[in-house]
Amino acid sequence: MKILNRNLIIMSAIVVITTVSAAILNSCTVSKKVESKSGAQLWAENCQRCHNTPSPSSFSPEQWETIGMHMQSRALITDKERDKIVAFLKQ
Amino acid sequence: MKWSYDVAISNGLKLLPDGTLENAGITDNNKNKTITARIGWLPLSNSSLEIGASIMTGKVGDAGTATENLTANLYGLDLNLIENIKPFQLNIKGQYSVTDVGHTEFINPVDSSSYSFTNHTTTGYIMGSLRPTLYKSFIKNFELAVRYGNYTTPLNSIWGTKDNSLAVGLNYWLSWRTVIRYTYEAINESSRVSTDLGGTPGSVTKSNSMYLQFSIQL
Repeated sequence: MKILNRNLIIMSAIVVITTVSAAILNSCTVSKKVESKSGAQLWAENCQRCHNTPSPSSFSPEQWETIGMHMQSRALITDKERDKIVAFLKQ
Repeated sequence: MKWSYDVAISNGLKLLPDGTLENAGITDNNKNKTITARIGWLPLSNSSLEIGASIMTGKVGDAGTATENLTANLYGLDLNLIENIKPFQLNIKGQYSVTDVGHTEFINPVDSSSYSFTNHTTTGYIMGSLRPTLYKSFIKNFELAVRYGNYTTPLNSIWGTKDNSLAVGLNYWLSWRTVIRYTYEAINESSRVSTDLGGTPGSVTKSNSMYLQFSIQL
């Protein structure tokens, strides 16, 4: 019973912390410093955190659109940041 | 500054007869779900540093057995730093995690008696890599990497061990996702299996390996 209660407390704490964090995070706006960055700069900063950055010529404009949507959730970037990066890569 | 968060619910982990855990996969061993959550903090505007903390908790025992209500809690801390120090690109990654599983009895394979241990496992690693990305010639394709890892499993368990590993590697990137790796790795493995379980506590096994790998990331 004690173990059950402890688990219930842990799980409840996770749910509460996550919900509160999500609410706070969703209310945050992108800082001006990030918003003023170019697509090239955002591409260099966000992609290389996890992997080598392929050159823009590595994929077609249509492929970059799909890659942009796929990688957005992994890199945790905003729609605006993704659009800037994809626009730069499609040039 | 940025924050990131992840939450997941899954079938989770399954407790094996020796006290180790494995993924339950599609065929679940109980009706309980495991909750996983991670929060990441990127304090710098160029997102070059990320510090993360994570937790996983859930019941791991088979349904209808004495371990049905046994819980496993896993906690983790991770770090990722990528910094351009002209003409190099420096990458430091690290992770430390702890696994705690509730108390239960196990069967000694030597004499079939029951025994128990504190099911506490820690594992961690830190690695650094350096790549001269701003050189124009082929030199920019080289990457030097060093990794230190530690893996400590429960004392007096049948799988008790304390491993320390050190690896040094030289990579050559043929393209952004194709690499040839040459790695030297030294591992020191110290046994934590008690004599009652047929082990020799403190006995050390040393191994040295060299790898030549070709990898394409798809």
